[in-house]
Amino acid sequence: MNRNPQLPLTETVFYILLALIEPAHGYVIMARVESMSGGAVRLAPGTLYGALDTLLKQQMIARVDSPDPRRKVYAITDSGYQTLKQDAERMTHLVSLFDQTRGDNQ
Amino acid sequence: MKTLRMFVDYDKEEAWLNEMAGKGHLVVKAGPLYSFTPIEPGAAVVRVDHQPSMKAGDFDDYRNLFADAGWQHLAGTRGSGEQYFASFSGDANADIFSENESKAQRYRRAMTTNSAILLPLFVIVVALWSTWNVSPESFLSPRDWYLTPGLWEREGWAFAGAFLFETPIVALRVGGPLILIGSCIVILVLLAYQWVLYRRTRARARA
Repeated sequence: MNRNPQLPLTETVFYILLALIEPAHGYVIMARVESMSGGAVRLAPGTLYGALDTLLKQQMIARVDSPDPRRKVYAITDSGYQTLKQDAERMTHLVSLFDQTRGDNQ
Repeated sequence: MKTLRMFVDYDKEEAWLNEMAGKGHLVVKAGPLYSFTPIEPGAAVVRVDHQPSMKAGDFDDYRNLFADAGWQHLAGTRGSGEQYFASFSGDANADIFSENESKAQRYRRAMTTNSAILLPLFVIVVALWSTWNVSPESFLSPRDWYLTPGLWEREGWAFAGAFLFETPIVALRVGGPLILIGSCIVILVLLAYQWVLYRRTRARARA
């Protein structure tokens, strides 16, 4: 099996892609990530701006029409969603392995 | 209030700007000649980003993202590279980067900007060098810069007249390329230093 070279995703990128399943602009992404992570992941604007730039270049996200011309709105692309799904499967596999060893030890 | 300063290390620049903010001077115009406006001492935390030249729409979007997150844009234009922001949240550790990796990327972007300046200069230097056919030795001996036949054998006023007449021409013919070569060397040293700072900031990220 050929593994996607973009895997594994960092926690920050995973959260950003997850937040962009519904289109959003920068500040909405920050708010969604903070709430999804229960306040544990707080993206600073410089970090988010750089990550969005990289994800655009990798075509994992794309710009979509924005109601506010002064704030760009982004959404996940098909290839971005596939990468996100593959990373989720990778982690599910790891968690199931961990659960098995825990079962064996009990 | 205006102060002349030069920084390559963004951490040192931020430290100095925050020291100034602590004394009640908030930066409003970027260096090398920094301008400041009075604020309540210690009310603001200043941070520096570097972005390549942006279109007007991109610049608006960029500043709005920071403004939405509570960072006021203080200084920097679309093409200035460095961008200055202040937070008035009262948290002295507030930062525009939540990961050291993205903090290190500032230096990579600055290096890209500097490389874009270096490349055309370098092409001009190489082109001049090959069309002129000057040897490095003659470049280092000022006597060879003067082309008047027998100039250095003349004496008294005959020498002074010819020497002074040719000096402005020499300054243009030799000074121009020297400034070009000097600029290339300065930018190369700058790139090397920024590379070191990039590696150092990244190493801190893993520690």
